[in-house]
Amino acid sequence: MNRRTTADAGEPARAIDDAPPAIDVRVHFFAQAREAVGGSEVSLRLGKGADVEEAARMLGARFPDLAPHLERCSFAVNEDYVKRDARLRDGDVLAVLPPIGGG
Amino acid sequence: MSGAQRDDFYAIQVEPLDLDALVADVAGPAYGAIATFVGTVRDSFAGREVRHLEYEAYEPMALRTLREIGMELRARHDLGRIAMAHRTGRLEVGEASVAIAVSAPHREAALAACRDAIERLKTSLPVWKKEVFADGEVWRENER
Repeated sequence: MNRRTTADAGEPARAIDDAPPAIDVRVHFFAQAREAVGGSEVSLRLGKGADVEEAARMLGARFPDLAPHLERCSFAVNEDYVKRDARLRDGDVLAVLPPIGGG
Repeated sequence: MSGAQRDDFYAIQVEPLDLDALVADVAGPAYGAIATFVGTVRDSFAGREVRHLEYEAYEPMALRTLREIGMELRARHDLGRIAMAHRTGRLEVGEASVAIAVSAPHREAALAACRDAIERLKTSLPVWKKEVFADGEVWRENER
């Protein structure tokens, strides 16, 4: 059998193909979202194929003070505005953007 | 439409804005008009006295947005050069938060583009404004 396996000493071999796919994204927060989280950036691990809506749900669960703000937030992925059904990919930069106030 | 001899100028900066420099930047012998807009910090909102403002930006996306606004302006108007700058950090009452200068061969295009620029900036620039009062603070959303 030509399956790739992990086989560290003392551990049973596990086929890499069986590992659940995951993606890692960086999340930036601004304004009241940043204040609610207590920081401007976090890392988020999601299932492959996850969308922005799912990321928002996870962030709201992880940061309860953030949750009430999320409904009014927009989102950007890699510096472009996106809809909540936009799919995320490994290495993406997600930004949580409260209602803007520039000018 | 019009092509620029030099690149347009876009900045998100902590330093105080220099309107004279922006005007000098867009001026050119082929342009008969320069239109400008400056947004300044007011001392009150809905009757509450503002102590100061704090502006925050998603800088790389804000710069990209300014460039995109510039491209839209060029697609709609016959322009010379465009310069737009937004400040971040703490601003006191009376200070300028945003400055726009647009030149064009003729005044109608310069005035129209300058107006379009601030309107588009207000609806899409990823910048946030916190109003700080004596008795509280609010992240103020632009009117839609």
